[in-house]
Amino acid sequence: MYKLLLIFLLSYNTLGFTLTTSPPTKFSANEIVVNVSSDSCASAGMTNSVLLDMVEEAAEEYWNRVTTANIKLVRGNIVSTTLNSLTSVGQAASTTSPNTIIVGCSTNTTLFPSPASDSTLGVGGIGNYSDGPKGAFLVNANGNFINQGQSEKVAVIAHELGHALGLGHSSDEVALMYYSVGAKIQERLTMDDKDGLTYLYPNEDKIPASCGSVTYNKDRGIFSLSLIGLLMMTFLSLKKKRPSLEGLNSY
Amino acid sequence: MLKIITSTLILLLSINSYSLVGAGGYVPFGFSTQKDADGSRRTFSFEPYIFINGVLRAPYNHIFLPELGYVFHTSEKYDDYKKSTMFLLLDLGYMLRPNLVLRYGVGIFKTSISSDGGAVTLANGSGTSTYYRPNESKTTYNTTWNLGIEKSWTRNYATKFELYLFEPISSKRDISYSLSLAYYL
Repeated sequence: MYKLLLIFLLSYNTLGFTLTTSPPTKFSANEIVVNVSSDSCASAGMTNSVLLDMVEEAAEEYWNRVTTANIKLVRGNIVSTTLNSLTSVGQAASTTSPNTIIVGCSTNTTLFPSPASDSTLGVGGIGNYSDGPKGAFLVNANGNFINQGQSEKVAVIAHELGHALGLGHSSDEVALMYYSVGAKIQERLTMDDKDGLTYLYPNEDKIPASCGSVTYNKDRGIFSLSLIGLLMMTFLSLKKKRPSLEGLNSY
Repeated sequence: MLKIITSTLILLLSINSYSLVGAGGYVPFGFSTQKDADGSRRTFSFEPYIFINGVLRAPYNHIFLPELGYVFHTSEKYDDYKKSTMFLLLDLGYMLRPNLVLRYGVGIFKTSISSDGGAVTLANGSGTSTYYRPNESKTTYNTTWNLGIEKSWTRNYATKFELYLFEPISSKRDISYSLSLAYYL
């Protein structure tokens, strides 16, 4: 019985970041514009421009700092789109352009039934559509979002942006992508969050240079052989000029 | 290109008697990464790493210090996925004193993340949802500018502290650092 319980617990709990879909749904561009819907956010205790400011802060303070990931969230505009009548985050995503994220406040009671969903602060996600990947998240303007402090609101928006980028929940209780804000102070991403974003958007197939980037071409032809030969000759000549033992031992 | 550079470094180390091996701790992005629920950072979360380092005389009181290292990511709280980091540093060392070297140069870091895949059910608001573990390996590359100091204590032992500025001219720049003990072969 004990072994069965252990097996159940081990199979139930994932240990680390997850993805919303398998194979992962992700953006195909490296710069993702985040726009805010023109729907009123008064029920969430803010204006649309304040929401846009918080989205920018969440992007800059959290996801845009992951140096190992090759994606950047860019502040967009307030766009004339109505999301309040939509009953899923997928429907919201379908209203935006490919490789963009749309953000809005929703009082839709089908999406956020009150009081059952009052503790749900928002929903976010990403989907592949015929014209490309699109992301969205909706703030629950019926629930407790309005009662959160400023830093908690930004962290919630960053969490939903994580879903809109393709990340699922993490079982790491300290991670931004943990399902609950709880009593923790979430000022930064954890390594688990960073690894998740890096997995989805790695700097791959190229060696980034300090100024621009150099494409990694898997050339196995005469050029590579010549380069190796040149390097070998260089090092053999260095060997001849090897410094004295005394000089290096003092190092 | 990375394979060519690595092969060349191994060749270099094989022809050069003056090399050293070492081990220590590496902290990836310690100042910008949260560790605990109270908001504290991973400042002292050292990951074990090993390295091999060549030493070649260069002009103007300098030495050339190519280094190849491997980081074992063991301090993660949850480690269901596998992660490894390999790096190549092309540092120059300026001999401030006979036993004190200022190191500076550039580097390439290669980090791989992988997992075995599978669906998992996790809490989501008032209910649960199905999410997915990664099911393949992904590799990311970063360039660095390096700055460090190395102090020799005896003919054979030295300690080294080095900072690595990742993506130095990008808005995403970030700092990792290492502290290690080296042994001269």
